[in-house]
Amino acid sequence: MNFKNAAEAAASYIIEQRRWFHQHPELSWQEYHTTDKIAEELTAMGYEVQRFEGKTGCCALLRGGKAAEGCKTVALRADIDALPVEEKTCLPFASENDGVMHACGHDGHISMLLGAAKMLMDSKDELYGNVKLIFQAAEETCHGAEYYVDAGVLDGVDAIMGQHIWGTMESPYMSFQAGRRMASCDNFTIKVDGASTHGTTPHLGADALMGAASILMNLQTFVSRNNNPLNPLVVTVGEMHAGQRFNIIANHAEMYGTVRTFDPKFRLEIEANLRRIVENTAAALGLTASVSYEYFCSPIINDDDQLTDIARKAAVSLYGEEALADLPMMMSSEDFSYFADKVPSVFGFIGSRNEAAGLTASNHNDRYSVDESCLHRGAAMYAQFAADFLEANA
Amino acid sequence: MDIKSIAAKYESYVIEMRRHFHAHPEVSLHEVETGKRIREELTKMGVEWRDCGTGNGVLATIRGAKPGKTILLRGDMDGLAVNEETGAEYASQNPGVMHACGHDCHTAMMLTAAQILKDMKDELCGTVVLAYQPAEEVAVGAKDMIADGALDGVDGCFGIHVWADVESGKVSLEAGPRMAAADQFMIRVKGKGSHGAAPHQGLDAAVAVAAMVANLQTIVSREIDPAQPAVVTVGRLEAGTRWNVVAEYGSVEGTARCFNADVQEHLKSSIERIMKATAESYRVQAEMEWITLVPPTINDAHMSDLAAGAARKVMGEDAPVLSEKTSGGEDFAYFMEKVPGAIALLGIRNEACGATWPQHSGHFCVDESALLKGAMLYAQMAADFNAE
Repeated sequence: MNFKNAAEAAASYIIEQRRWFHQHPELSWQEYHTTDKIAEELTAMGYEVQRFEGKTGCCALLRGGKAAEGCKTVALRADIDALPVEEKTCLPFASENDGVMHACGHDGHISMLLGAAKMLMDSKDELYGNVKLIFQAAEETCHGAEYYVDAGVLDGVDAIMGQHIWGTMESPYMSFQAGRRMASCDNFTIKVDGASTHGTTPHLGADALMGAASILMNLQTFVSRNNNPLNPLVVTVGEMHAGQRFNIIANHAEMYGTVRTFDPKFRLEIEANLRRIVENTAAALGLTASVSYEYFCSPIINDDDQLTDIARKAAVSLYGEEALADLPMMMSSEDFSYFADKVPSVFGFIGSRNEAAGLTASNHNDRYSVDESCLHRGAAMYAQFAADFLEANA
Repeated sequence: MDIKSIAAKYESYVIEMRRHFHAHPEVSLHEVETGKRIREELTKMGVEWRDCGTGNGVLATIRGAKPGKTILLRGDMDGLAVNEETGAEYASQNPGVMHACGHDCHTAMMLTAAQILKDMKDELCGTVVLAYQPAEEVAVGAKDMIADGALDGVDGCFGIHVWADVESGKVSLEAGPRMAAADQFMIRVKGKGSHGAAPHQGLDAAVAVAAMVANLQTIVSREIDPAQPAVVTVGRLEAGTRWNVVAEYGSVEGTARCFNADVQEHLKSSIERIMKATAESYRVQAEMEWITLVPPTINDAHMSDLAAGAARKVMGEDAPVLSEKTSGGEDFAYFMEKVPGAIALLGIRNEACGATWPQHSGHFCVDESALLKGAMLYAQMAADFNAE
């Protein structure tokens, strides 16, 4: 079974869908119209749609015609939420929701998986197992996927595949590589408390603002001095607030940051190190500080050789050896890891950049748009991977 | 042309040579007796040579009977200022100096490779240039040999380093970054001294250098791509003269390491920028001296492939293994900057013979059975490359 021609035939449907979702973006956990529309499309194709009470997102299961007893079930996942970004693409189908935009390409993911749903339904008689379609909400919260895992969407699922369209990779390339792909994501909040006083009498107070500045400088040493230089690690404080007024010594400061890395064991050693630096720096300056540290996504590591191999061969059978490109690992994260923590998985990237067409903005940029020809290729990848996986494990 | 059967007769030679050089280590730029013995051995086996680099280096040439390319094989020969604590019967006879990095093995393998290659001259394609390189530990030898014409007419190069992290019988030959670029910097700061009780009358060089060290941390933590390994270390800091005098002078010395030539340039310009801007903000003067020690050691993909093929032939199908790149530097990088090359990390680790100590340790020792394999790898790589 080869989905190349079927995907070309479905291309106009896929683009039409993408434009609709692009025009109607909704923020995480508010994807009501998005979910309705997906359910409507799936129902029209003949799927029975599973909704989640009080939550957005939906699932559907396709039973293959050649599914024998003990056959496998493979899940395909697309995320569906948009971002709080004011769109500046000037596209005729630009966002109708002010301040909300599909700036990460999840509109493309929905349409790719709908395209795959169509193709798989058309060839269901030839499938050696079942395909579960997962349209997941709230990826941008870093842990939307957690809800669906807890709700049992992976029950009976043997493997899962996900993909992201990617603005720094030229279309028509795609990347399905073994090993480290995206980093873990854990976030922290630091609160520093001192004592306020008049700005002209600092000796009567305890300056929480200076404490926050020192903490930020000292945190740099965790990356530059404590970490093995061969181990990729980012500690970023992205947001910092201190004080009330120019002539009052600040009695309180707050810092918000994120930690990205790959090694699961090392990941669990970070929190204690940050606490050490924060608490001791504060103590040295006569302040108190607290850290709250939250664990979100695990790293995305393609560590199942069979699945990576099936994905790569699927890409080659569709578009030839030259379709596969190398995309370096990234320090950004994906909540697909909540699925990957539970079942064997593979995650890939579909290049959406097209310099000749002026499509060079990266994901999350307010001008991000995609070479729409990548979408039917992504759809073909979903379908081909599912069919090949089921056949290989029949 | 079966290198393994030719090599078999040099099994004791390679160990005898290694033990001789091990017993007589000489520090960088002083490898006089080492160089002399290398010349004697080459003369004895009838291989032509000439002096090349620092006065102690030797460049030998073996011409094959058939036409082909020219490869340079390189082995370094200097010892280290380390006190030997192995208790071996062939332990260092020069107190305070030891072959703690395994360059004794390199020299012995290179002499044995010369034996093998001259024995197979009739079937050998092209020319093999053997570089017996001094002064690796001070990153002078390679540059000096190149300046002395070692690479004239050479198409590719190959080096071997015995490696304590790789099991004996195995060899790591990955393409790409293998060893780090290394640079050294010295920053000198001039402020103005004053009484410690009247800091406002001075310009405190101690505070300024402390701020520089703190600000330098942000290069690795904020500026460099986290996927690119980089180190900026300030290893030495000095400021002031007395507890109750505001420091007039301060200085820091450090090193920058990375695996990429662009990152190396980035590190240098960032260190300079932070030094200048921090000095300005503390009203002191600062200047930097920068010494480029070695560029990154990056194995050429084709040379790596070829060497892995050679390793399979002489060491067995499963000999090539993966080993993490290392943040140490290697001046073989200067050869590899000029012509495509690869460096092999030859396994010498063997728990059974106590060869588990890290390089540069006073207890460092090797599984000597790996040395003939190294010599064969040199020879096979030369034969294969030249015949291409």
